[in-house]
Amino acid sequence: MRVGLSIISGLMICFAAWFAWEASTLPESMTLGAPGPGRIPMIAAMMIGGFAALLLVQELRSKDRTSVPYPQQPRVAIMGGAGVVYAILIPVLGYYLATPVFMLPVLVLLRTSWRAAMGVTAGFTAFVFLVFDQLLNVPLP
Amino acid sequence: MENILVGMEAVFNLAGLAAILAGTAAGILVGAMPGLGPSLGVALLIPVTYGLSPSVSLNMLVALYLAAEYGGSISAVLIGTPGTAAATATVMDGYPLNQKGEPGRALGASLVGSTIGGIVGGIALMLISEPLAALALRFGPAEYCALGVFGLAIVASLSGKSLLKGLLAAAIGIALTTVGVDPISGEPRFTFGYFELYAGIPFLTALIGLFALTEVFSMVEQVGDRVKSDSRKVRGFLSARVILRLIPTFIRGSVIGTVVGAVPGAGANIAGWIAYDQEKRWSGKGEQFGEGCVEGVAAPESANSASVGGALIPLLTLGLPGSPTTAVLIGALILHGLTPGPELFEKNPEVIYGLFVGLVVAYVALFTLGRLAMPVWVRVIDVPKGILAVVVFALGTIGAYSIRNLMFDVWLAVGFGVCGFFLKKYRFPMAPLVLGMVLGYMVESNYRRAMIMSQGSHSIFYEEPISLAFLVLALLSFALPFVRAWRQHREAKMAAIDSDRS
Repeated sequence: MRVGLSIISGLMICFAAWFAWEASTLPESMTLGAPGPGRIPMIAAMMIGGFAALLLVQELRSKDRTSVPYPQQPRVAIMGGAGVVYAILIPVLGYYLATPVFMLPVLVLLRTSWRAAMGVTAGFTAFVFLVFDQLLNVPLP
Repeated sequence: MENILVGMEAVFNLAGLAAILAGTAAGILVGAMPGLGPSLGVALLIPVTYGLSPSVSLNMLVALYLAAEYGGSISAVLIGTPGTAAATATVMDGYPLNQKGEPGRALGASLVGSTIGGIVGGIALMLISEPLAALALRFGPAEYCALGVFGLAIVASLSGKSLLKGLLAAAIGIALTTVGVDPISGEPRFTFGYFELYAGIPFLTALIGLFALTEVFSMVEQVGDRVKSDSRKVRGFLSARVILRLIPTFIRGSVIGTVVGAVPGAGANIAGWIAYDQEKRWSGKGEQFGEGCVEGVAAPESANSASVGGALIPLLTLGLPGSPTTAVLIGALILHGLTPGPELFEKNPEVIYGLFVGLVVAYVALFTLGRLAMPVWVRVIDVPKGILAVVVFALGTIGAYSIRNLMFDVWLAVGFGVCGFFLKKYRFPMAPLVLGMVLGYMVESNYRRAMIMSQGSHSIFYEEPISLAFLVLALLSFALPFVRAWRQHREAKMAAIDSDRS
């Protein structure tokens, strides 16, 4: 049994149960015998629950104990955390200020030299400004 | 002919040509970098197309798609790692050719093969799509629902090693399409009071999360794993004599690629392997394959390029995506106010015929850029993963925001990225999830419309011959991988028994 996959299967069963409960609050059928807005969500919930349960049973019976490797957990956490901070900062500082604030430290933390990090950050921000703002008129926050 | 002139008008202007050139260059770059690929590239390029006309946008995205299929061969030849899934067969002989000191020949065979294959695929697209679209115009809700079911049935062939995980991913995709205001009754579903969800989960936002941001987390894990290519070594090209000798190989690969590419779910990777295998039999050089045979590069490369034209046939005529990249293209079409399917031919001929002309121009651009700037593309492989990850994240953010100018969508994309990372870690295939998200809405809305027409009777699905044909095809398509797996299992078992006896 692989613990991670079993947890994912369990979470999917919970998601399916919640989805089915929500779907049950929607009308199942409409006039003229046509299916209502709850029919397909209920079928989808049953499919998710059913397949996830089968996957869980398969995992519980499996003799495979190999775990999925997470060799670089801190780096993934840094990227995830920085991404969240970036999304918070965009509406506060605006895209063109938030982007260097996000890029520069993350690049350095991901083993890029200061000089290269500053070059990439400046180059990317200038590229986005020129292409999206000046050339294509795509509004950014 | 008149339509082709309309198409030429859409392409032969400054914006049209610049877009094709930029898309081609971006495609080679994206393809050459292992870990990126055409679907991620198209998803990231979509925000750039917001300010462009639908025809110019589609040409730019398709140019990226086809060039990325070629770009994948650059890293396959130079570092033995395919830049895209489509180039896996190319590694077999491309990398040995590089080790023999002939990377220029390998890349030349790949470039000429990609150009010829792409043009053959494009011609097939022009010849087949119009009559098929005319037929599809006669489809009603029952036929469209059955077509959607047929599309979903290819989940078995897209699931890789675990069918259960593929089915689960497809079911999640279908569930996600039910978020938003119900298209028939107008009732809000799973919106929890968020007005941002009334129009449903934006498909492109989900794709940016699933393809681009998921890949960012994977790239971060590989920071420091640098494989240096030696760009100085790449010299030489194919001589005219070798190109002439390879013409039958290019033609065989192109035909295989076009046919396989048009089958939903098969894709460029399978096309490449089938062409490689067939070339091994037909070329008369079977024993040299795997040791650096130029035919072993030319065949899969012409096939995977030809598969692009093939894959566009069901996309443009039926609105049916056969691969993750064509699914992203559907999202792009919808974003530009176009409905993929037969109506495109009637309502937007400039887009369709512009694409036909654009395909030919894009392959000319691919050959020219590929040949002239070879040392530049080769150096792309050396870009550190850390830089790539941060740049892709920042571009993905622009993409997610710009679709509706909502920060909510950025959060949604990040959420999809995190979920996608864990799903990828546990080897859940992404393609069925995307397929569910594309086809779920099509199946549900047409199923319910058909049921209203038939006053609640399911007979409408098997009384209409086209609908019945699609349902039978769906059943066959779903069952075929099982039958194949069962036969392989039985053959392996028999072989084991035979070896025990002997």
